[in-house]
Amino acid sequence: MRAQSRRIILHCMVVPILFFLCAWGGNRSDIKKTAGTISSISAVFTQKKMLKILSKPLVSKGKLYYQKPSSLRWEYESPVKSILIMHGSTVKRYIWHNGKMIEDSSAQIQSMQVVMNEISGWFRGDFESTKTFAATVKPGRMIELVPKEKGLMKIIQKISVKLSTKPGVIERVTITEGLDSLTILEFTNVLLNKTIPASLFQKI
Amino acid sequence: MRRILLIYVLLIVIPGCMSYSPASRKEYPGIQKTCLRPFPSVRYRVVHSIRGSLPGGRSAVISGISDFTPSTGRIHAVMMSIEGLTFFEAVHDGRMSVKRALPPFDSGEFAEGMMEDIALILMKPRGDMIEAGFISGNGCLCRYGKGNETVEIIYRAGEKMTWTLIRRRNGAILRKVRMSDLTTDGIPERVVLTAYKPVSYTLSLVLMQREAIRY
Repeated sequence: MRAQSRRIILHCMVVPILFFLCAWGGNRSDIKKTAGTISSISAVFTQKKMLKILSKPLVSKGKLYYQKPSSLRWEYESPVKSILIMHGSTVKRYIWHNGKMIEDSSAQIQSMQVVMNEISGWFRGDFESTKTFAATVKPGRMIELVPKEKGLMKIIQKISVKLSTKPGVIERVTITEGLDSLTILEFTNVLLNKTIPASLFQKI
Repeated sequence: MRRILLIYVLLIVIPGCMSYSPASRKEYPGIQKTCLRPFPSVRYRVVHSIRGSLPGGRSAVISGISDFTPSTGRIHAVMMSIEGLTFFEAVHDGRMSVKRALPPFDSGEFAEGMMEDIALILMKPRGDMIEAGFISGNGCLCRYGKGNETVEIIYRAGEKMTWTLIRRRNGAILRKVRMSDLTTDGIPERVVLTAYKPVSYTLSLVLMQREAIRY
């Protein structure tokens, strides 16, 4: 279950990380220089899960908040309400059940500490020493992330990021698990470096 | 002697707790129709939000997708996290074909057990109906048997119509399933499965989507 929790958390964390990549001027040397310019992110997202078994995508909607150095709120509003909150070294996940939010005990703090060490490096603009993803710039405002770890590659084959024409904003993220399995995240109302109330990372 | 005692318990004592009266053969079709209302006769695709509670207080919420064909017993099932990470995908059409399984869902026992649970929840019991009758309060009971396993369906009318399934093997309860809140096309919106053996756990399912597949 620890490995499972780590995969879920990485799955969620990919998106805030990618916003840092978008501050990127277009080559690796710009990353470190511009990584410090983004201190917070808030956005509305629509998640579409596409599987061969489905005749139409499963659609979820929610909101994302990120505050440097290590605060994240990933909140699903429909069809299932749930909130993942990371604040410093604390990770909690809540699920709506029987009319109230209850804590989901499957998230493990030990797994999260490993993930946060990884992510801290990304926030410093350091993508060379990361053990998780290799990033490549592609034509058409695209960035492709491929797992370095064989174990993770069996879970996520690649992540494709489509950048908006607006600097620092992601238009779409496509997470490819396999031939017939995609998760597409589309972002709207993206705000960078706006003040986010600290309470959003402390309470549900 | 033990078998006689078992039959006595199954046929007499347990129904007796509910004020049970056996039905005549002529009444069987009508009773069976009521018992099987939660089980569609055509192929369906359903999506559930599933909360699993395990011993020790652990719990998790996932999404489950099932494409099932009652006429053939074929089940194609996917389990994934709310974030869209696919944990498990398999097809069972007489034999199991696992397409994706991340730990800890990668054991053969897990796949078999999960497909049995899905079949119990979504499709009418295997085997022949061997017993049917009426229970107090406008309810009814149907019992199906195959080999050393039986499945009882107990329907209770009232403020809320409920169907309770009890799956037994050699008389021991393996699973209890409670279904309620049927949609207009007869799919239960709420299902609670309680597993007793070999591992105990509870699954609470809420129906998110359903679609009859008629091609």
